Amino acid sequence: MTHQVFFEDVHAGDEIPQLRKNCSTQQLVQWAAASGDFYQIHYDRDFAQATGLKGLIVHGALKNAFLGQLLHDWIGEGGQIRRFGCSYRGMDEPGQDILCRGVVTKTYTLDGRHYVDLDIWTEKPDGKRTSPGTATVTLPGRA
Amino acid sequence: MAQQTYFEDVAVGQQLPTIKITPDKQQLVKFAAGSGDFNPLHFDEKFPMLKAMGLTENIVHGRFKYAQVGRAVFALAGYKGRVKRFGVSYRGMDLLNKEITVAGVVTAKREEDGEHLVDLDVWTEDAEGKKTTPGTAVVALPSRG
Repeated sequence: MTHQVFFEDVHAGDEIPQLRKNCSTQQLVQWAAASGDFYQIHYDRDFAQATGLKGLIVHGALKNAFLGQLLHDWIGEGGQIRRFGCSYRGMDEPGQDILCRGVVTKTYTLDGRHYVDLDIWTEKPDGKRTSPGTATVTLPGRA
Repeated sequence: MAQQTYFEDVAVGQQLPTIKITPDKQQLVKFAAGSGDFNPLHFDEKFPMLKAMGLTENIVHGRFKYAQVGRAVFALAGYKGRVKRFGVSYRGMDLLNKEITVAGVVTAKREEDGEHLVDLDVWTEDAEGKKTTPGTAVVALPSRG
């Protein structure tokens, strides 16, 4: 059981705990297996380079899943993800850090539920945001 | 569906129809997906252990070759026959994008407990003719009698 975050502890501008990922080529193949996305740019270097890429690239949907983990890790068992999504705006490669981050943009209570809106994204070591998105979660209140 | 082979159709020394396959990387990745064998030896040509083995290309899963030999064995059995026993040894490596030939030969015919059994030697061989996955199989076939 992780530490539970409560609605009253959260304010706009807060950054949530970061999640650092670094995909091996094996993880990409396992993601291909689990997702059914067997496009060769994710595991066949010759193929990837023939299509004009520098090398292998990480599946966008895998980064989306990492952002889901970022949120789940933060909200704990008492919270719920209401919606989240991201755009695939940049490429990440295996063997390079992917930092998953989120910042609270708004907190509000509606029909007795405590909502938190966030900006979420993955970023490369140079700070470039490759999968920017937004999320809405509900958190338990202390009251 | 191919025609059913009957016990009387088979002779000792008869060869099974060969199957030729040249596995590409996607095929091996899909085999990793299906089998759960995610050893990077089979899909990452930069995996350090490959270099340690003196290789620059990925190795085909042994069980992939076993499965290919299985196609030949089960094709002989057809719908009415049964594969009683089937096994291979992994004796040599095959590499990605290199042709593999599946072959087999009938070594004996016998009747046992009312079943009509065919013994087989089966194998895969590489482009040089080296048997990389030798094995044996026993298939029960229907009889016309």
